Amino acid sequence: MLCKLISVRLKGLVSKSTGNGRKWLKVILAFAVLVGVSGICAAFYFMFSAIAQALHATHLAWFYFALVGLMSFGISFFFTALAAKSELFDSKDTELLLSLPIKPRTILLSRLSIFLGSEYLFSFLVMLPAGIAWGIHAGVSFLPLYILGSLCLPLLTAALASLVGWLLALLTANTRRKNLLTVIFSLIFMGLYMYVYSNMNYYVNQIITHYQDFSESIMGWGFLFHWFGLGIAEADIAHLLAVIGIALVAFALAVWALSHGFLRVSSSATVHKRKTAKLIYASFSTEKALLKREFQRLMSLPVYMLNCGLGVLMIVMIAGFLLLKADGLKALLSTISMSNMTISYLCAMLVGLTSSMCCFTAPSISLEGKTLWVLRSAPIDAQKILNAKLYMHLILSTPSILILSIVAGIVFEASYVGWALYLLLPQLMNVLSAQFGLMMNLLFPKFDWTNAAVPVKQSLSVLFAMLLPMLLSMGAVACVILLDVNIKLLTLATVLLLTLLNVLCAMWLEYKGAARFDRMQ
Amino acid sequence: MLRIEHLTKRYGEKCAVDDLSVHLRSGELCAFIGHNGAGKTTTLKACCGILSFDEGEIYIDGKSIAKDPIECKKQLAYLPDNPDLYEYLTGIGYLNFICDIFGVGKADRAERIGHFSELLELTTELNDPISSYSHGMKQKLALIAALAHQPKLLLMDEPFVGLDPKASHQLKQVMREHCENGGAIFYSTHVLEVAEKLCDRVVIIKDGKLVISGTMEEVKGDTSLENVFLELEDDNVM
Repeated sequence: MLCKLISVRLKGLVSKSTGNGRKWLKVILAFAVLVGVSGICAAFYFMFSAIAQALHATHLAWFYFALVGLMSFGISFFFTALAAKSELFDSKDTELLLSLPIKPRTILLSRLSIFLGSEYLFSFLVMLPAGIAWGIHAGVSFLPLYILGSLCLPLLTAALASLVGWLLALLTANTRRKNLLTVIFSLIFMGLYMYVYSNMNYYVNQIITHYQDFSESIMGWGFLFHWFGLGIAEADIAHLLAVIGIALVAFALAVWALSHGFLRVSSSATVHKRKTAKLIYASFSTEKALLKREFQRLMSLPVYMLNCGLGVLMIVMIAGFLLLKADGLKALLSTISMSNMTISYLCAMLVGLTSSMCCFTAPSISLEGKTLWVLRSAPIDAQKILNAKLYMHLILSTPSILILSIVAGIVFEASYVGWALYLLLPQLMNVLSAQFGLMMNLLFPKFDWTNAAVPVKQSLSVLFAMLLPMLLSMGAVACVILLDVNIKLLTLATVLLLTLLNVLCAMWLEYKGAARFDRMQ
Repeated sequence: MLRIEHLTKRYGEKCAVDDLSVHLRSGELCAFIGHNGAGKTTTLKACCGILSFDEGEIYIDGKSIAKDPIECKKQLAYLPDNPDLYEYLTGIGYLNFICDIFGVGKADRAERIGHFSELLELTTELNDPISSYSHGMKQKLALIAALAHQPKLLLMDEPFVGLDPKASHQLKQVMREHCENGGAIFYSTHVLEVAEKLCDRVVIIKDGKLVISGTMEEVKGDTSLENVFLELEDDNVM
C-alpha cells in the first residue's frame, strides 16, 4: 500500500499533462535542471575547496565535515521547512485517502517519503561537491563513512522540518488569518536565509582564518555535527553510529508524533464564519470583477503569494541595499573604466533581471484548476480574462521595479540618457515577463493538481518565465563585457528587440492565446 | 430555444456523441437520460460552449454556439454535476462576481439573489466562505448564480445528486417556476421518477446515439419511464 501511494504521488509530480508530453520540452527541462544543479554544486565546490585546503593539514579535519554536515542540514532545512506544511497536510487528496481503508500513518509515510526525497536532493547539492573538494586534497579513504553519514543526516533534517510543518499546520488550523500567518512565518524564514546567504563570503573567510575558535564553538552547541565530523575524519565509528542513531530516532519520533496528529490536523481546519448578516451587493464592470478575482485568489494562496510575490519585496530590499551601500558602489564603479551610458545600460538590464522574481502570470491559468468551467461557460471574451491576469502582474511588479530603477539612477548618477534607460528597459522587460509567463502557461497548462504548490513551483511555464529575463540580461552583459559592441547601437538594438518581443507576445496572446483559452477544458 | 443538429463529438477513435439532434422550445423542461458514459455531459458541455465538437451545430435562441459563443452564453447558464466554485470567495462574493460578468445591476441582483436564496434557504450562509459549504450548499449557490441573470436556457448536469429531500423539492419548484416564466431547461438525470413527474419532454441516448425523443406521454405511454429506459437498454444489448 505504501509503495502504491508513493507511486501515485510521484506520478502526480511528473504528470503527463504538462506540455502535452512533448519530448523535446522534457529534454530542455532536464538540461536546464542539470545546468542549474551543476552551477550550484560548482559554487559549493569552490567554497568547500578553500576550506578543505585550510583544514586538511590540521588536526581539525573533523571540523571540515562538521561544517559540511551543518551546511547540508541548514540548507535542506531552510528550503524544506516552509514546504513541509503544504506537502504533508494541505494536499487535496487527503480526504479521499482518509476515506479509504488506509491507515493515516501510511498516508503520512507516503508523503514523508517524497519529502525525504527532497531532503536528499538538497543534501546532495552540498555533500557531493564538499566530498569531491576534500577528496582532491586528502584522498578518498573517508568515502565509505562519508556516504553512510550523508545517507543518515537528511533523516534528522526531515524530522525537524516536518515537525515545523506540523506546528505551522496546528497554529494556522484554527485561526482566521491562516494565510497571513503562513506568509509571516515564511517571510521570517526567508529573511533569516537571506541574512545568512548575504554574509556567506564573510562567514567562509572567518571560518578559514579563525577555525580554532569556531571548532571549539561547534563542540558545544553543535555537538551532533562535532560527532559527525569525528566519525568521518577520524573513522570514529562510535560517534558516527551515535549520530546515525539520533537521526533514526528523531525520524521515528517525528513519524510517530505526526501520524498521531495527522488526522486531527488534516480534518480540524475550521473555517471562521462571518457574523455580519447584511449582504453587500457590490457592482463592478466585467474587467474590474475579473481583476478583483485575480487579487482575491492571490491573497488566498500563501504559496502563490510567496513564490511569485516575494520578488516584489526583494526588489524593494535591493533598492534599500543600493542606498545603504551607495558610497561603496560608487567607489567600486570609479575603478572600472566604463562610460556612464554603459554603466546605465548594464544596471538597467540588471534591474530588468529582477522581473524574473515576480512571475504572477506564469501559473495563473493552471491555478484556475477545476473552476475553469466558471469562466468558460460565462459570456466573457477570453482576451479580458487574460488581460486581468496581466494587469494583476503589472500592478504588483511595476512600482517595485520603478523604485529600484529610480534608486539605481540616483546611486549611479545617471545622465539624461541613462535615466531614460533606467526607466524604459526594466519596464519593457517587466511587461515582457508578464506576457511571456502567460503565454507559457497557455502553452503548458496543468489543471490536475491537488496541491497549489504544483502549478506555482513545479511547472514549466514558471521555469521559462523566470529564465527569459535572466537570459536577456546575461546576454546584454555578455555583449558589453565579451564583445566590443558600440554601446549606442547595443542600446538601440536592445530597446528594439524588447519592444518587438513585447509586440509579438501581445499579438500571440490576442489571437492564438485567447483562442487557446477558449479550447481549454 | 435549443436546437442541437447532428452533433458529433469524438475523443480520438471513440465517438462520445454520434449524430444527435434535439429540439427544445421555450417553456419546456426536458430530461436527458442515458447510462453512465452515454454522452450526456459531453452534450451539455458542447451546448454551453465549454467543449468544441467535430460535426453538427448547436443553436441557442437561434444563434450558433460555435460562431457566436459570447452572445449564446449570455442567454444560458450551466450547472455542472460537481460545481467546483471559488473557495476563497464568500457566497455573496461569488454571486456578485457572476452578476458582474452578466451585467446584472445592483437593484436587480439584490432582488433576485434575495428571492432565490430565500427559496433555497441559503440566505444566512451567503456571507460565509464557500470553503465552509457542503456539497448541497455549493449546488444551491451555483443554482442561485445561474438564475440571478435570468437565463433563457438552463443546462444542468445531474442537479439532484447530493441534495436532501427538501432541497430537491425546492429545486423542482425553481425549475418549474423558470419554465413557467418562459425559460427552458435541459438537464441530465438518473432520477427517473422525478423526471417523469417534472418534465414535459425526454431524450434518451445510448452510447452517444439518440434512442428516443419526445413528450413524456409519447415516450412512456402507459408504463413508467424506468421501464421504458430498461427496455431500451435491453433491446440494444440483445
